[in-house]
Amino acid sequence: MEKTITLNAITEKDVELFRKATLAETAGFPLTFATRFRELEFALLTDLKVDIQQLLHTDQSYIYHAPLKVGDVPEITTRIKENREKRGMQFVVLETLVKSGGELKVTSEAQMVIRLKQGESP
Amino acid sequence: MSWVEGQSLKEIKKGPLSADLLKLYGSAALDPNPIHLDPEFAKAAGYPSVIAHGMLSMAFLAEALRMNFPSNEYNVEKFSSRFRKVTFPGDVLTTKGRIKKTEGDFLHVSLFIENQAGETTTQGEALLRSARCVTPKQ
Repeated sequence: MEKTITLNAITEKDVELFRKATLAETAGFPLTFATRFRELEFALLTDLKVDIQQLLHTDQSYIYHAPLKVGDVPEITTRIKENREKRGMQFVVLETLVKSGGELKVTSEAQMVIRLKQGESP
Repeated sequence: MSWVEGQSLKEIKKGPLSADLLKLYGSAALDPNPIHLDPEFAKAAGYPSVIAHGMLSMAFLAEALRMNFPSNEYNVEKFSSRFRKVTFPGDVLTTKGRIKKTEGDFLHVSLFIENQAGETTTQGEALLRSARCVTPKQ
């Protein structure tokens, strides 16, 4: 399962708000700014009928291919890389590719764990 | 600056975190999950109050990376975090870390966050490359 969307261009205001909210004092584009591009993760989790109250974001990784910057127009593609159940827990791995102008900028991978209710299956 | 294996990173302290900061972060990061914003929702999920975004902790680790390895000296090639323990409003977080391995122009860095009780809440790993020899990636 995969979804793609093109977002509005990154603005100076977006970056400043992000820096303020993360109490950033150092210079440079925020390393975790790509977390703003998780809209399709939430959409895919909704498609999977995940109970958001039982959802835990347990792992996150980024591979940086090229710098994101103000003015970039993010093209986001998110797919479900893994979806498995083990001992009453559902493990979902979501991979997101962030491109701008066709150039791959960031690969993001998020692992979610969902506590399943008794008798429930993913 | 020249780094050696085992060398400790400069620590940074963030907090006490406030519920208002979580609201601001939710808005800045476009994270709609009410578990970070709505106390009743969080209680229904089994928590005593709203919980902080794991990604906010990862942002603090990112700040620790940038403080120790400025962007004009090092590019971050890879960066990962594992969220081990939930963080609540009122918690005070301290980032710590060390050089795990040096390999030519590359540095492998281990990071973690401790709360005020000395519990590890978040672990991180990063791969950095000297900015002298490559075009920036982030």
